[in-house]
Amino acid sequence: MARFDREDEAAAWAEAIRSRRLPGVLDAVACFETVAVFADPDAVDPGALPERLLAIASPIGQGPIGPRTHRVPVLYDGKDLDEASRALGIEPGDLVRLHCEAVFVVRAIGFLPGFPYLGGLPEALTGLPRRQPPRTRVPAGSVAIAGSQSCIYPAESPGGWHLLGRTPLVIADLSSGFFPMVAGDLVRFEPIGPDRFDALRGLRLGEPDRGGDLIPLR
Amino acid sequence: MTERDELATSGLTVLHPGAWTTVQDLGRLGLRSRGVPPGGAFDSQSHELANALAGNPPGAATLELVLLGGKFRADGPLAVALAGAPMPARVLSGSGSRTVLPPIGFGLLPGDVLELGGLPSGARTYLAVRGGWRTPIVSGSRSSERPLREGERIPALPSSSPIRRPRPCLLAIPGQEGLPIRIIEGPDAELLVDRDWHQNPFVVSSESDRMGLRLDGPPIQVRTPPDRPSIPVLPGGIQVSGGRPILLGVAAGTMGGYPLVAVVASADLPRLAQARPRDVLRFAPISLAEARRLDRESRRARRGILLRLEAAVGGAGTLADPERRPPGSGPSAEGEPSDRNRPCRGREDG
Repeated sequence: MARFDREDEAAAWAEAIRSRRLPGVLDAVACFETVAVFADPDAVDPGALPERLLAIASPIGQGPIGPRTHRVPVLYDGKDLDEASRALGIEPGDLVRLHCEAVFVVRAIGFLPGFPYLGGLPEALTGLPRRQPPRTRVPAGSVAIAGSQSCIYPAESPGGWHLLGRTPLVIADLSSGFFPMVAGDLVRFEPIGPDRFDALRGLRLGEPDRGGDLIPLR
Repeated sequence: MTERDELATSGLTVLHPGAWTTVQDLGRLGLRSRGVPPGGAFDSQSHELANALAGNPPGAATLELVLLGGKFRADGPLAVALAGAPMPARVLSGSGSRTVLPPIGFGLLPGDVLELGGLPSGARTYLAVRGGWRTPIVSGSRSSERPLREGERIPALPSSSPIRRPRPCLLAIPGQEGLPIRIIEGPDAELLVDRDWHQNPFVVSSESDRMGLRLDGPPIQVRTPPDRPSIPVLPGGIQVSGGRPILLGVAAGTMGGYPLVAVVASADLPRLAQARPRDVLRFAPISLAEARRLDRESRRARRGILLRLEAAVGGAGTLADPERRPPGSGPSAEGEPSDRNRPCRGREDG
């Protein structure tokens, strides 16, 4: 396990380790500023691993590609939109605009398979405590905020975040091993209406939709 | 008949699902960075043993039976095996009933009912079938956290085998009951106010499952900084929440916010899986180097057992086989270890 001063360094280091596919290294998990590397002791000497791993630089800002950006369409009809707006002292329309203007970064994936913790919530939208008690059922695709973060529920689950809306896209699916997001990726939300929601419903994040457009759009 | 046709009709039907029976293999690897816990058999050692007795590789799916086994009907001839905690088991067939004692491999005929009782000690027993239980593979694994339901059918290909019970020497793992659980310092050990917390015994609470074991004991004080970000966690991790330790299980989430003060040595994870509510656990701190040594030793010992069993199951004769018992050896429950005191040749100590 290694701790970094910066979350983007942690995420980039984990990505660098995963991309090398070192023999015996099963996974590198970035979670905020910490990275845990899991290895198979039958395939690699765990005592020799830290030195080899630490020799891998955290390629922050290097490399030809940079972080992936996921564009996530959202129908902002969430149950908590009005209440959250009141609590934040802004208009619902401004809440949606600010949420869509922000560039979020995936700080960690956890809680549920494929559940992204998104940093970069605009200051005006921060400070909402989690709901007490949490909802017992939050629908799949719900986009929500709490504290200084946003999130997307990949599957129906209990949850205490404030629901702003829903994405029609599948953002993770255990049955098919579909997990497009990883710590360090960027996420932008795009407002859509009910018709577009219905047209995109059930498509996977990044998959071409029926009109031939690509999601991400543009 | 194709394999698919056979799987549609052959297997086990759940007459009573037991307390918490799930299908397990060695779990999902490589998806932790996507938030997917590894899952898999909690006591992977007993899971491997059951598989070896059924003639399977370690990764075949078994049923993980917790505390109370349940009742299952064979819908075809099945070569099955039980290993792990000593669950009382009976096979009810048209001609009567017979007792089987784990660890054992034995055969079920179509219509036979396998009745698995409550565990007198330990928490987990594994039921393997030759070829493995053939439930759907999800992201590379059949491991599921959903307990079996009454009426459900668990597919398996038809197979048959004589009753085979390994000589105890084939399974020799140094006795560890009552020994403390060995732990190493966790990444948050410096947050402990009381560094000697592990000198107290703790009692396994009833709020324990594959996600984790909650322990009761003297409160453990930790300094928890506000807004502390979560960190990656792992099976065997020991978190402190509300002054109580939580021992994380194989189905625990991949990250957690409670201080991760210690980690159970991986060699002792199978024993953790056998801890049941009201058991008393003691802990002994060891160094990382010692934990790695224990891990190497235990993996070597496990490999040795599997190789010996493989040889025995593959080449007949090495396993005690009641059907080959000479006449006059007396009445005996099938699988009773009548050869327990016989010397074992070729015993290894690794």
